[in-house]
Amino acid sequence: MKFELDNSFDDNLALFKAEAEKIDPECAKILFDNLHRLDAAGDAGRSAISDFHSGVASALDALQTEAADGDS
Amino acid sequence: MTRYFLSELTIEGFRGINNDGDPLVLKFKIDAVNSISAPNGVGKSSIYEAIHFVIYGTVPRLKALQDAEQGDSYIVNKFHPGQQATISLVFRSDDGTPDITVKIVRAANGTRLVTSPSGHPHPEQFLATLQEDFVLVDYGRFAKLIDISALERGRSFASLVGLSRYSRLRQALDGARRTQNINSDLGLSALDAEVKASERALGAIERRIIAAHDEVAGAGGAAVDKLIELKTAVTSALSSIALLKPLVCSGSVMDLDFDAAEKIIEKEEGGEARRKLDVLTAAVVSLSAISVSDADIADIERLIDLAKRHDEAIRSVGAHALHALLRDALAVVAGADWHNPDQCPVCEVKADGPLKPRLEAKIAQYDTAAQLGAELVKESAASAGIEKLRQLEEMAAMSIATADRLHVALGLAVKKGEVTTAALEKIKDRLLALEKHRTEALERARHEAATLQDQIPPSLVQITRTLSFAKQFRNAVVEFETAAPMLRGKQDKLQLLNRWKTFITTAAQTFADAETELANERIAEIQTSCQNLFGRFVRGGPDVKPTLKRARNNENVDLKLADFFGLHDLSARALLSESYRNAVAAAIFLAAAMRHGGVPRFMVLDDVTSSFDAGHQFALMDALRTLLRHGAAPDGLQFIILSHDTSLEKYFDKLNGTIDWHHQKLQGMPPKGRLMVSAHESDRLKTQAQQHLNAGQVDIGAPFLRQYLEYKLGQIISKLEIPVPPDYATRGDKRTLSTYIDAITDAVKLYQAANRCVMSAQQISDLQNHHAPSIMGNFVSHYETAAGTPFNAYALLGVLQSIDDLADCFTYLDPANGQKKYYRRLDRR
Repeated sequence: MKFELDNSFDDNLALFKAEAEKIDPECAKILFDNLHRLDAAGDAGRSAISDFHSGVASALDALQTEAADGDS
Repeated sequence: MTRYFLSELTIEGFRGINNDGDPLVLKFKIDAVNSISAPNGVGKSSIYEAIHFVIYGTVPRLKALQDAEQGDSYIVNKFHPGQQATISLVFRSDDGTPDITVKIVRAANGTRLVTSPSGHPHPEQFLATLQEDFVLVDYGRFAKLIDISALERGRSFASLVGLSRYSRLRQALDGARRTQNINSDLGLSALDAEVKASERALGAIERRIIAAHDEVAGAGGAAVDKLIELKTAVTSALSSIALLKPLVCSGSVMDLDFDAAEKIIEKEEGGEARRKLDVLTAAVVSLSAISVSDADIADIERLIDLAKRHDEAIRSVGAHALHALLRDALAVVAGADWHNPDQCPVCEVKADGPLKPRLEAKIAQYDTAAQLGAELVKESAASAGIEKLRQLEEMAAMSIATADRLHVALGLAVKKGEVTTAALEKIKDRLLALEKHRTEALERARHEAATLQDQIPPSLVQITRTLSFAKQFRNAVVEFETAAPMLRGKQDKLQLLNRWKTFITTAAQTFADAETELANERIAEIQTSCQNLFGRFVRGGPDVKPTLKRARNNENVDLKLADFFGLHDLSARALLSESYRNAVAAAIFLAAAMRHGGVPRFMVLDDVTSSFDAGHQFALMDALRTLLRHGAAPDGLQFIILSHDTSLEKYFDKLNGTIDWHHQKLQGMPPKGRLMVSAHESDRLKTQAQQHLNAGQVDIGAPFLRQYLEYKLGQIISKLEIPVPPDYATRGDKRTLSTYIDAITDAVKLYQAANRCVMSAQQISDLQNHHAPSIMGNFVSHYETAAGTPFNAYALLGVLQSIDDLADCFTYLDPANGQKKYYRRLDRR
């Protein structure tokens, strides 16, 4: 993936999202659903990362429940 | 993309600017360099802060204050009657689309209301698009860019070239993919250990099921994945025993009432020997089902290793009290009121650089040690080896007294977060000892059971034995059916966490690679123009070709000199003097800003030339005017310069009014009175002076009179191009007025002596005999020396009139329209 020099940040972020979806679409959704927690961090403080991970943990739990419901 | 210039700024009730009911209005030309000068303390910084407050919602100087100082309470001017700050900005587009006006009102209670009188639907969002690092630049930012570390420079540079959001997100993703953070926040390593322990425990249960099944139904081919068949086989074996058949009936071993079955056997031929055999059989089963494996010992050894690393981390950082001391020292050093960032607040020794990063690094070591401690506790709680210890110690057949059980003490230590290396080493030894004890106990139980079996009638022995194993089978199956789904849940969760870890690691690296490439492209774009600008700023000095180099695998940006007197690739920070360092920073900022394609098309520079050599100062101004401003270059920017430098002020005065320069001078009495632009407000200065003097308010009226006099004298010098002495620009403030008057009267004398003065004889006489002496005697002498009789309102009103009369001496009536005009020079109209 390559960011384009003339793109806005949001346009390049869309490129990154597409690339992330190629890696794992469900995880990419979790990342982008919670990205604001990281992007708002400014200095990327530890507490912001913890906050992000708490969002990720909830999303992974939901994903697991969804998978379990699908199996049953 | 539409880009915007700043065409007007209106301020009332903000910081040092009171202007109650009469806002300060600054108009800026979009195709000229705009300069604003004011002596220190007149409110220039309030203008910079007002623009910052509009765009970012904060005032940096106030934000840096400690909470107790309540920095926010200083945003609104303390003397403003309405206790409300109002700032309006007008932004002009560069493509003819309508202007955008944004108004910000800050009330004393802290509310901030953003509206757009021009009708922009989302004024807050519009202001957010102006948050680019080059828009507001002060001296500190210039100086920092060179002196900070390569990593900090890389991040600062990223923001400068419009990549700050990329840099922030890269840092955040790096944090999100760090194993330590994933383990700590998502509990990955703890869950991994828990799953391994549960798998081992379930394996033991499976073995118990198979062993019991084989004893009851006969050995061969049993597997837990065929649990229903195993239950059927055991049930069938029990049904074949006549004594038990009525109880089993058509049910299953899982529903069998074992108490009732035991009573039937007891009744048939009971006694102590049978009960003992039952106990011994159970002991053999339980002691056979569990053993200390190499994996259990390895698990404890892993914990010991972790504990040793924790001990080492604690040893390397020192006592806990030192941690608290370092945190306190950091709070002092980071505080705005600490006088020297290089000086230790504890021992007062001065270091060779700022202490803040060192303190932060030291504190980070403590945090690492604390994190290791937390990890150790978490891992201990989920350890398979410790779980094995618990099972063995609690096993009745092992006969370990409660007081001697080590797992109880360790459980308490885990709860307190105080797991030690010594305790873990003791547990390892205990496990090895327990295994030996278990083997011996098993042998003993087998032997005693065999002896008893010889004493009890064979048929009942066999039935008792079969029933005992059937009970073991039932209990193990119940355990299995509870534990297996729980383990599956944990395994699924672990798989999901590992999937996330793989994803975020790959995604973060993908982002980092793309960000690095983008940053390198941006650097390549500005490198040449940066070097050209630097060469221009230091014209006549060594052209060292400053070069930015971005690291391949991280955000570091090194600043090197490509050519330092024939030597190559040397550190700019190490070699350049302060003025040259600032010239490098200016070249980088301006080259980056010129390449930036974002929404803002203006740059506010606040006292950025504080440490520039005079030559570099003027070269910078010249480059802004002739090379970089909108109007001089197709992609040029609008520049707004705030300065209190008196040398530069003369430069601004000289260029003012030309098509490429617009200069404004601030005057007034902040923070209580009004602040105004002198060029447009000279009449108001005079009116203010008259009003206050007529009211007898000499203390308030006198400063307005002084400003009015300075403005009028400056106007005469400027209009008639009167030569001034070399120290004109550098004399102290108090001597400014007499310097002006001396320059004017000396020039008139000179032209008069040469018989070339354009002024009438009456004008010369009035100037020399009346107006100049009156102004000097009644005001300037006293003002500059604080000697003689104090001012009185009547005398000062006379001085005010003398100022206008003195200015009139340098005018003539234009016959074309009958209006007064200044002579063009002292020797011509």
